[in-house]
Amino acid sequence: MTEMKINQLPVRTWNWLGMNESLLKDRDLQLLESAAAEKAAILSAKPEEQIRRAFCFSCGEGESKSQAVELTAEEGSTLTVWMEISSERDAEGFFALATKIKAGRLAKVRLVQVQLLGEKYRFWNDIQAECGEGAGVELIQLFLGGAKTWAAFHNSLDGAESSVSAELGYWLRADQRLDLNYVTLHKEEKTKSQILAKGILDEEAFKLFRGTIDFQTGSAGSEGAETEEVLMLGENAVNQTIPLILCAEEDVQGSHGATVGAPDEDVLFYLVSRGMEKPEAVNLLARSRIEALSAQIGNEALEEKVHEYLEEMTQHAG
Amino acid sequence: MKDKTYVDDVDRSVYDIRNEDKDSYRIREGLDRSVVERISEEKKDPEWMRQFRLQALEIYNKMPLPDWGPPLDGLDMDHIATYVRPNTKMAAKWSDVPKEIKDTFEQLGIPEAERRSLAGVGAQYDSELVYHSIRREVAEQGVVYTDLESALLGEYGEMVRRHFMKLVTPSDHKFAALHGAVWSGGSFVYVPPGVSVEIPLQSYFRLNAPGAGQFEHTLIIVDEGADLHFIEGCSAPKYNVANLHAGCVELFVGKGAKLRYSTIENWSKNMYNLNTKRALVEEGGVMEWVSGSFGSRVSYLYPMTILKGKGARMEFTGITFAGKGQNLDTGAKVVHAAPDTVSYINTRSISKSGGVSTFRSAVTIGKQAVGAKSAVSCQSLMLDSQSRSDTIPAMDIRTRHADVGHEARIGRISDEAVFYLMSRGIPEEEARAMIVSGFADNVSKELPLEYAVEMNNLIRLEMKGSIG
Repeated sequence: MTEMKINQLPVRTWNWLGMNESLLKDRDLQLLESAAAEKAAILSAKPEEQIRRAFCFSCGEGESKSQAVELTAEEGSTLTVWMEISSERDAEGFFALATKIKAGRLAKVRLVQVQLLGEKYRFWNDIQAECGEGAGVELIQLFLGGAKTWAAFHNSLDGAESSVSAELGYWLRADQRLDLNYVTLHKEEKTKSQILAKGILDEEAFKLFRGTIDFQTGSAGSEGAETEEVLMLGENAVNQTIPLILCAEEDVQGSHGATVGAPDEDVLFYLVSRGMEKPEAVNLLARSRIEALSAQIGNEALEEKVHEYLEEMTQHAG
Repeated sequence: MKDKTYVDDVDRSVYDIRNEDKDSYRIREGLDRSVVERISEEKKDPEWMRQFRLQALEIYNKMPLPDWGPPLDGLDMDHIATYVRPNTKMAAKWSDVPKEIKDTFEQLGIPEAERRSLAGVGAQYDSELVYHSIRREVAEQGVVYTDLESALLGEYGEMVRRHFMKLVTPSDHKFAALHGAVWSGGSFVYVPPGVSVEIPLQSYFRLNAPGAGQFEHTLIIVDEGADLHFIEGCSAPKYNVANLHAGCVELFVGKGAKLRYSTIENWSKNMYNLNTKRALVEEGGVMEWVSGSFGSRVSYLYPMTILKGKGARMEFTGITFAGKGQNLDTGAKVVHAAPDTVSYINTRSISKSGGVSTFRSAVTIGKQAVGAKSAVSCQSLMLDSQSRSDTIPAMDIRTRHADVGHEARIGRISDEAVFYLMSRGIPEEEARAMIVSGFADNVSKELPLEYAVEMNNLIRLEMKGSIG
């Protein structure tokens, strides 16, 4: 194989945009194909059980590995999982993480992923989720490190009144690349989805966000919303966004909103008039976006690591 | 059971007038070098145009069909006649147009509109213009409005050569290449610097021949500081075989100039409408698109604007109504290639009776477009669950000094809005009709009154309430 298509849009558009899919090739593909599989991690919550578990995927210099995780929440159970993906700051390598989530009737799954990889690491992250009747999946993700990150989240709302919420944040610098593909299938009645993406693009960073809400036949009474906010700081940063709403059902409500631009001049003026230097004020605005999401992690140790990473990142940049 | 509102399909009786197929020449079906050479001969092309057509054919043969968008399975180029000449020559008076053709245009309201509210009219029937005129006072201002062939072979030949398919090149996509190979008919407009054309010009395209294609080319140059409103209308009777429309519109908006291009498209439901429209806007220029898409079996239609000069602006206002058997893929594209450029895209789409409506857009903001602003708003209304409505907007932003906003909404008729109107004494049926009509208001309010009325007639949102 010379290349592999990943993060494909469910419905194609103009090829010249370069958003229909991403291609893994050359070094990236070699690394994926040579990745050594770690023993799968399986976590299961019995009916009505409540489980909380933290995983730390520590990635070493020169490693190329893959990890499968299976999370099953049976009826009425609650499963909370934190994943930290990190390496030394200057480490180089490849890590592929594939997570499968099954949320049974009325079960709740909360997954928090924090990616703090070194600047030369490549990260491939795939999450596939299925939600039964009344079940809910909540995903919180922070992407702060890595040279290239490909992330996919495919969620199938199979049961009536099931729901999904995905909130992700990123702060990319230098020539970091983030390639995202989030798809929610509304298959049953009164299902709900929400995707909120907030990020900062500095220097020559590149981000492509694909987000799809797919209201399928039978999803009457469903609601789906996507919101994206991108703060452009870098003179050479590139932001690509393609939010799809696909609809085969009359009685649904779907929406998408996006704002992309530089920091609000009025807010900057206010901060500068309070004695702050402009770069400091810009940094404060950017950092507040990430820390607002970090505050939702719900795991003090991991929140502290994010805080330390941000400190180091901003000092390094300064 | 939920309350249901039924919205009638567009009443097409006036558009479905079929004239007997009495063309004076119809090229054989299919597409190859000899067909293109024969068209070129028929058109008395200059040599450069003959070569251009042949090169476009080569590109056409090499290019694949799009791997996105509605299916094109029903379109077989081996069964499309790419050139049909009606049995008449172009006239400058309606009285010189053959009665049957004239009657068709009369029933479509073109001569009456010309008398009441237009500065000039071009009427194309199948592959050729049959009527063209411009008011004397407008011509005296130096405005040129003629058929493209006359411009090509006359004193504007060099101007045509400098602009023809320079904005939409044959290598753009397969149907642009097809157009380059077999184009025929269309209009040429030139508005000199500083001239403001107070009332609109209109071209109307009528395709009568079954199994034929129409490939008119519209070339408009609005020079520095000039101002023009151009209206395009199109229709065809319905046949059981596929018809093809692959026209091309190229618009050049000069420094500080303004062009409004309004279209009411009402092709029949056997039509594959694969049209390409593009505008280039210089410094401080303004391009406004007003677009209503009602007809066609399949449409691929995304007018594109290139904001080339500093402070150039564009606004696109569109509505698409997809009924039974229709798959209408419409939208807009804009490229911000200069500082302080502004774009606004505002669309509505309605899907009913199994119709498929797709809104597709692209906003590209280049690194040099410092201070650019763009806003996209698209709203879709689903009137039943047999239909489909998709929204596929893309944004590519390469400068930090831009403000971009986008919003999309999809849904059904709001129960709250119906309740509010009913609480004011309006019957439910009427309330629902008002809401659907109001949904299309963004386009109708942008059209001259006569055309807004025509559009409303087209929609014919007769709400035959069937409640329960």
